[in-house]
Amino acid sequence: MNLPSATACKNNQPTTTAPRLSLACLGVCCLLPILAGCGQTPAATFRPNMVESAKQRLQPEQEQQVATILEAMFGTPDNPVVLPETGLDIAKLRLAAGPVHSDIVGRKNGLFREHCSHCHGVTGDGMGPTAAFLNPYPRDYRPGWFKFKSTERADKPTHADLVTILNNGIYGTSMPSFELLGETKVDALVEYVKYLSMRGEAELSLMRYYFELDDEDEGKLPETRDFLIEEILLPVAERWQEAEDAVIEVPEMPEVDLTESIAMGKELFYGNKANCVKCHGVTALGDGQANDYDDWNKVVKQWSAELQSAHETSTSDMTSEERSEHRAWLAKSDRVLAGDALDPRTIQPRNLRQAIYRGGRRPLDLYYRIHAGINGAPMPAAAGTLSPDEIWHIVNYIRSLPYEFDGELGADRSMVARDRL
Amino acid sequence: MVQPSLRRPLLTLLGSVLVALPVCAQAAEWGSISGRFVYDGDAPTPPKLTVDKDVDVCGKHNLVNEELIVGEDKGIANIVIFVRDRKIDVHPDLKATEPVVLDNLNCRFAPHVVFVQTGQDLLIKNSDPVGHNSNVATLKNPASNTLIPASGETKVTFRSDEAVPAAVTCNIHPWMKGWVVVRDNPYAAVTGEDGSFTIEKLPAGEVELQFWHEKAGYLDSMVINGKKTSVKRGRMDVEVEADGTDLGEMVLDASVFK
Amino acid sequence: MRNRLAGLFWSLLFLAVPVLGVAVFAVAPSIDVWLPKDVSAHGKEIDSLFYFILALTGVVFIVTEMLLFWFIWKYDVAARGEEKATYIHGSHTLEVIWTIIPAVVMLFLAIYQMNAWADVKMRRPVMKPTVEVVARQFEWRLRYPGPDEELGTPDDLFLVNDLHVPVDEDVLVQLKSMDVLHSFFLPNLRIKQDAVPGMKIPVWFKATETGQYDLVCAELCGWGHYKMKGRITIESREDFDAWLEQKYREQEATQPNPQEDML
Repeated sequence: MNLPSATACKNNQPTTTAPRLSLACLGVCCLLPILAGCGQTPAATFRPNMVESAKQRLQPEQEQQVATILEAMFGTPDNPVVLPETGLDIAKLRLAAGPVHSDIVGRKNGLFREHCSHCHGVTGDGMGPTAAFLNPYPRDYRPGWFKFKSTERADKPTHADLVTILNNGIYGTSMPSFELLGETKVDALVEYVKYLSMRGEAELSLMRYYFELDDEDEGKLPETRDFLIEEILLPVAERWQEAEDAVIEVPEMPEVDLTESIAMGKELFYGNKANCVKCHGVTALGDGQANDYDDWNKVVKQWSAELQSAHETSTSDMTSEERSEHRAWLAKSDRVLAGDALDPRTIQPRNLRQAIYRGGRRPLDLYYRIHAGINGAPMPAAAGTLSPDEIWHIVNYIRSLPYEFDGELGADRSMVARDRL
Repeated sequence: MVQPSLRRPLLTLLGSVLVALPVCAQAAEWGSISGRFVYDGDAPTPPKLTVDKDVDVCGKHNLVNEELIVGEDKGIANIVIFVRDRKIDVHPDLKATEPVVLDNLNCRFAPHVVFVQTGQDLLIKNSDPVGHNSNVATLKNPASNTLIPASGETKVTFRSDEAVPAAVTCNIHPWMKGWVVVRDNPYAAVTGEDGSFTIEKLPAGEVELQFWHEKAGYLDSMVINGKKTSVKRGRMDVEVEADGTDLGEMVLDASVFK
Repeated sequence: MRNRLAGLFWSLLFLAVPVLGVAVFAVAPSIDVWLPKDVSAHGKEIDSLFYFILALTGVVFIVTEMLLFWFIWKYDVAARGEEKATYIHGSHTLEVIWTIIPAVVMLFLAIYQMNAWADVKMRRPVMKPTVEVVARQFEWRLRYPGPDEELGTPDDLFLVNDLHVPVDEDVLVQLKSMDVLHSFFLPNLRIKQDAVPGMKIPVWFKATETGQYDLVCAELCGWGHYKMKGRITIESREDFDAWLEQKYREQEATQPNPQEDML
């Protein structure tokens, strides 16, 4: 089989070898690595947000305090805890959390680690083992930004929005569909994503709060209910709950001829009011703006630029104590940048001629995208600027783009349009 | 069910209750704080920006990078000064009613840094003939990003204050950058071209000021009236006198802005 | 004495191979690890080919294994004493025989299966694709051509993993891959075809029974290969059309929850 088991076999073997014994030994040798593997798996842990920690120049004991508070509020990957303020359902979370195993009635548990953590990581930081290979990178839930939803840009998605994403997958990215898992499992996974997101946001506000402490706090966050619940948890949890009642109202599509609507949409697309052309390009191939970053990548990008300039800062004015502190921080930050962050990548505006729409292809989905913009991405919200009718015209124009040939609109399509798909 | 290691913080978490004090006391006397930030070194020339979008409109304004603006008299513009104290008496004259205006003017944000209070409207306008969008990257408040066509406008309000000023950018014109300072009291100021600032009608007594500049971050140390003063995390305690406190010349070394 | 035991052990071990081998095949169908239920028009032919080859190889397997057992049993040193083995330098006749027999068998199989092969891989029904299947890591993206029967037009219907086809009709799948090699495997329809990036491969079949079956990937395509699972639903023409229409209506929704009006 392999080396370790062969050695193990030799040690167990009596000197006079009976064939039966040698066979039995062979069997045991095959099983040994498997048995050994089972017993030694370390318990899964949440990874701290090291980028934020380095940015905020947290001390090890402060990182420890954040970890302790978070464990009290949210538990561990194997044993999630929820406070009632989060509005989360612990039964659903238990189904999704923990290692992959079947419970006493044969129900599959550990769904998140079975289906999601490979890309999104156990922590939901978008840094699972496959993350670096994917483009775009898997979503990091921790800042609490979600792109494809039926609510306003700054709002959280509804539960149903996330269910839709899991069911449909995100065509154009590496996110596949999970619809065939069935409603219960998808529901549990969505609950767990919300849990990880709340935990991540709570971690961010805790880490950022050190900066706001007064001198007499001596660099320690207050561990009072008032602070942890009111200041940290509720502001996050409430926004998730508010989202459920904040779905954008969509007026009906105006009753104009489709060709006319498309023509008006086209005018808006290229015009100065909607300005779609600036990013999506004159050809609508998504080539109008090539060097922008989404908010997740921007965080890393800006921080690495800051770090670069910190490296160039002269240390001559510092006392020797300050200097060694500064150097330790730089060394830590370099480590974090290399090990806890993915290389920032630019975001490309959507190529609108492929008939691939990440957030869903229903006219309704496109309406939401234009109305609210895309949170975390450069796409701005048009609500208030464009009337609902105007948004509908743009939706119709965009939906015609994959089939537009030689500037002609209409039902008669050519092979060119077909081959593009 | 709860593991022993979880018990302690949980208990603290659930156990103590903080009694909120009503803010009603009014100060007897009011005073102001003023000062002037001065650049120690040769005033740098702001580098020209690369304008590659809407060149026919934005290209004619000779746009420069406004990260660090030092006036002829060495005054440093766009330094943010605000009062850190969470509970502070507010002078009755200072009720914020008017919206604060941030204009997209000549393909730049005017003013470069705006100060707005929580609950107060920030009116983002567009006086340019081209369309803009204003991406406000707040941390505590939900970030917003709205499309603003020529001569359009949008309103943004903030629920809570921001510990660090938030950047405002335009995704259509990547060179555009401005800042929004969000506080929950009216006591903040941004230095003008000459580097001077005044915060008026503060309650007399000790307040904690905080100083920030977009390139330097929270200012660490400065020379005040010839004396090197360390201001950790940009913070400094100042006594507000009824007849006004003048901090005088606050000199910042060129290396601060490296 | 111990040596005799060793000889016994080895010969019985070799005997166990054909015995257990045959036993596994005999028991397998009754514990449901045999061929999955065949619901395709061409499957019978494939299956009979399979049984034929199984029988052929089965006989050879049993004979070979029995010979092995017999030689070990018979020529055990402990039983026969120190008798010397005879040295033989090949046998031309034997070699010719054991070359010609398999060659004839192979040739026979090659000719015998030609019709089955042509049915599955060459005699494509003259029709437009029923559906386009795009394999990608790790899901099956589907595109139905819509009422105009033309792919690449605005009435296309886009779905994922949930393949529906009408029963008792020719179905033509246009198979593509977006990234790496996959294999489009419908066990119950006896269909397995590699999906190759850059190629549009036609796959056809006719289902004979309604029901829901697996669609899986049969080519190791990456870490999530084992999860690349879809579902095929075979249904009557009416159900199929109704399903297409409902899915299309959902895809064209301009308001949330349009399914409510449909109930």
